Amino acid sequence: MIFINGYKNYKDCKDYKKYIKEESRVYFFRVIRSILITIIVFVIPTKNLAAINMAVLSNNSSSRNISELSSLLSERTSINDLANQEMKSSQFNQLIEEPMIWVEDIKLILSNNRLKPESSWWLKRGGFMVIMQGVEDTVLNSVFSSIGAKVESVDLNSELMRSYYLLTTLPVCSGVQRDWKVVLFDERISAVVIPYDYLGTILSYLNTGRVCNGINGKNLTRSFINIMLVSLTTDYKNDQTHLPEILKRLR
Amino acid sequence: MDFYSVINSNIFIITSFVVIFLVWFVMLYTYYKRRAFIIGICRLVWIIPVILCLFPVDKIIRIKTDFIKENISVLVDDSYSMVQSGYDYKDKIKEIESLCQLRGCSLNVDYLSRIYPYNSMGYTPLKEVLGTWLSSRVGPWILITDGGDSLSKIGWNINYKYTNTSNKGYILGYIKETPNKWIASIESSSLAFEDSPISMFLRIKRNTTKKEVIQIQVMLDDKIVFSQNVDFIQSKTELDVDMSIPPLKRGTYNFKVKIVPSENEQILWDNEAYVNVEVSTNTLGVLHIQGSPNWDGRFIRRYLKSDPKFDLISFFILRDMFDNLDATERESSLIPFPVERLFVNEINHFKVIVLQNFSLYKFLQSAEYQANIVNFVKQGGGLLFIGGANALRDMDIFHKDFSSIIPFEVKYKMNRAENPGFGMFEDMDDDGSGEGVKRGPYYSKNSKFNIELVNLSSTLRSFYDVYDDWSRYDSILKNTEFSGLHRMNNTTLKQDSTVLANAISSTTKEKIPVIVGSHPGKGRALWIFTDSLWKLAFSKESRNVYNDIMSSSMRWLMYQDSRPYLKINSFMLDRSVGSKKIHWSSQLEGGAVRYIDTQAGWQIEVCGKKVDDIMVDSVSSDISIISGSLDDDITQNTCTINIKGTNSVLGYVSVKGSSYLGTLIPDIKKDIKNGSQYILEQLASITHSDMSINGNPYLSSKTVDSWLEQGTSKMDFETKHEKDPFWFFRSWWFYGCLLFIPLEVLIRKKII
Repeated sequence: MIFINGYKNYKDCKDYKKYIKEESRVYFFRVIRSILITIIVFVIPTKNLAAINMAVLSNNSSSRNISELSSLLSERTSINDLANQEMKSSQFNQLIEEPMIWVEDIKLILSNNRLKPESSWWLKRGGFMVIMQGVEDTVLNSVFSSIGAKVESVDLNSELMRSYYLLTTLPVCSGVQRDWKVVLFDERISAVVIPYDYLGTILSYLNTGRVCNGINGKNLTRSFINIMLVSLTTDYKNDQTHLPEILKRLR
Repeated sequence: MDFYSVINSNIFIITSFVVIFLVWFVMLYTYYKRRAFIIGICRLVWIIPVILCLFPVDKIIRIKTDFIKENISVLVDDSYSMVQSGYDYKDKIKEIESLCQLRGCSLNVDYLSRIYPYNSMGYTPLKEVLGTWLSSRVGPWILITDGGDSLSKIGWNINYKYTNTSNKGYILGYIKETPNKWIASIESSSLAFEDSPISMFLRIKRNTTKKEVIQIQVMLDDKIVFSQNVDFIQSKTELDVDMSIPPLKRGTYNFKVKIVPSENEQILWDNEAYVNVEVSTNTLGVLHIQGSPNWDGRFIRRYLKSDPKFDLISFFILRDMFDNLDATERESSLIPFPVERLFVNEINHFKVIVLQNFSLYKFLQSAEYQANIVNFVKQGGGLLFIGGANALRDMDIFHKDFSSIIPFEVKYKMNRAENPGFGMFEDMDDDGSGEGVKRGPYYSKNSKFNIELVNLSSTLRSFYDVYDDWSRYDSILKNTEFSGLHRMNNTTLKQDSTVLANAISSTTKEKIPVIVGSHPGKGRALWIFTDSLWKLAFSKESRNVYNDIMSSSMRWLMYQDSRPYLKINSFMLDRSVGSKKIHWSSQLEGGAVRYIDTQAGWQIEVCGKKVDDIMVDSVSSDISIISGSLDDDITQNTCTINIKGTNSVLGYVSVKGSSYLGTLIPDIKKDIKNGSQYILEQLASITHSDMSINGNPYLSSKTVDSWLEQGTSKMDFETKHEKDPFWFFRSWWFYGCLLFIPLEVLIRKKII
């Protein structure tokens, strides 16, 4: 990387003009090198980054390649370390150390229509869950009320709608009767309930360009980014909205 | 009385008695037949006292052998106020002398005017004299005074140990009965919050008993900020009042609390008291900046938002320069990072800055912003640095401002042709074999490790008291596997930094610093060189591990120490009548006391004046008393002591205290002429003395006569042991036994 071996000592230099020419060349190459370094810094994603795993709780043991999702996230945001492969298991205990779990079948976290102790424990400790299945509201309410959580519809002010992109609707296939729901624990979103196989839908769209009727592909990808941002940053947008009042209080 | 030994020693008498009794009984039977048994029993009962003479009891007799006179020290307050009141203390001394003649004691009488020459100036130097006079005396003492004192309102400095009756005191108080009310005590918490009322507790006493309404005023700079009317009911002489002062803005306030005097009240100085209160913000500002979102950021934000005392502002760098938003500005919720506002205008309103996975050089390119963050810490702010892939890049390490607070130095010296590159210290393959790895610190995502707390010395533990909180979770830290670590290759720790915990590599067992504490300038910083501490949130042992560790870290960074390393236990001021000096003393406690030395850079200010010449009296390893004197040209009523200094172990230390500086009150002023029951009560309480006021014992005190009898004269006695055979004759049973004599006669005469 270093092209120049240093510059000559002026005292030793016999030809002053030659010396000046050489100095100018040195500094010119240094400027070019700095520009190149700056481009490298911001363009080439740095390696050695901690991975964000895509932990999926599913009865289907085959794990999918999710490099498209990983690329989507890194191209659009500063999050560059989503893993390229799903981490799948049908046992909640095997994924219990992951802070975010995508659940394909809600029965895998229930026992006698109540949250399994490990699922309840995990949510209370700060885990973030995405349930990709249509579930009746009454079932959701009774399941999550056991940990003191509330189930609500998603409105425009929800952090899910504004954590990265400003969304006006959430993607739902035509024919799906239910809406997206959020589960609030400690007044923050702890779980998102999506009434269809969301990961399958978005992977299909990214790989083939095809998506079910009623869903806009752009909206779909944006919703994924919003979900990831909500899981990692919670309700940071509230701070920014209330910034003037907070600063006033601190003065 | 040993039954068997008595039997043994009197065997002949007892045998003779039994034989005589049997012979007599046989004769009785031949004459009285069956009645002989009853007669025999009656005879037996009334001779029991005689039989019991054979069983004497031990008796202790005290015989006086010698007679020793007790010396009693007497201090007479012969000040102007006592003379003017017409009280004849000489008569009282004669009275005590005559009592002493009976009790076996002698008096040593001192007069205040002779001990302290300035007494004649019209001031009563009771406070100035009494402490020294008591400490130089042994044995019981009497003080004759009206309670008048020229330094009425400052505290007593009496180093007097009352142990038992041998050196107990008696105060003969004489005051003219004029109606008086006074503030006996005032309490308030020294710290209050904006938007919250300030609580104060007042105890008011009086020497009258009629029903009256009094007004209490709380004043700031002679303006009334609060007033309250309270009722003194009939016969009550003491009243407790709770007051709630309306909320005030942030700042330090010196309140004057005053009882409005009644019309005929002549003593006014004891109607006022002063109290200091510091009002601080309700909430503590925390600025959380994260370079790129990760799980560690989620959990720290969850913790900070869960604690209502934090006002949290979080900013995340969600998008890099070359990320493609694929949306218009209207479709995205992203806002520009308000760097100017946060890092220039508002930065000093925060208590702690959390820099998480953040490169100053990459994301805050302006030198002014970087310098402001560094200055924020050096001027007393807290910094919680949490590592990650974006943090501590080589450009941060070599930056001239940030490098001054980073807790380590890189040994690697660049040559002149090199510039710090982004990745200079990194092995791009992260297999530990590249050249970059050997040069300096780098982040390794694949490093798996456990955390082990280091053994700290007691001095360091008293400063980093967050360590004691973490040590509760020592086993959990050791048993949790973390990943993602800044490896500190080729670095040396700076002197003002301390390693608090090491990462123990799961494979090589190598120890690498993972949590470091430092105190750059006046501030505090905690450096956590991993981004996987969030895993503690999922600890199976305890739900609160992560929150507790973060909570104690934040508390330490904000100087909210539960065990401060320097605090002021007391601060006393003493204004001398004659010498025009103010003597001050302060008791300090904490780990920092042993380092206080004005010659070593510590600054001490008393009443706004810098003090260089101090005396340090070490009471124990962490308690000292410092004292000194100043010229008495102070005009304000209160005085503050400020102690600050820097130590290589403890960092910057600063503590403040205040006290009331009383003014001299001469006897010739009307309001002191009548004495002070308040002062007399204080004295009796401090010295644990008995007291009488105008000849009447105060509360449960004895009269001076019974006090003299109980605690003064000493007699020597000798004890003797004697046998007492006639002990039964002194009991009531003896008379019962005597009744059987006439009963026997009546039975013989066949009357019964």
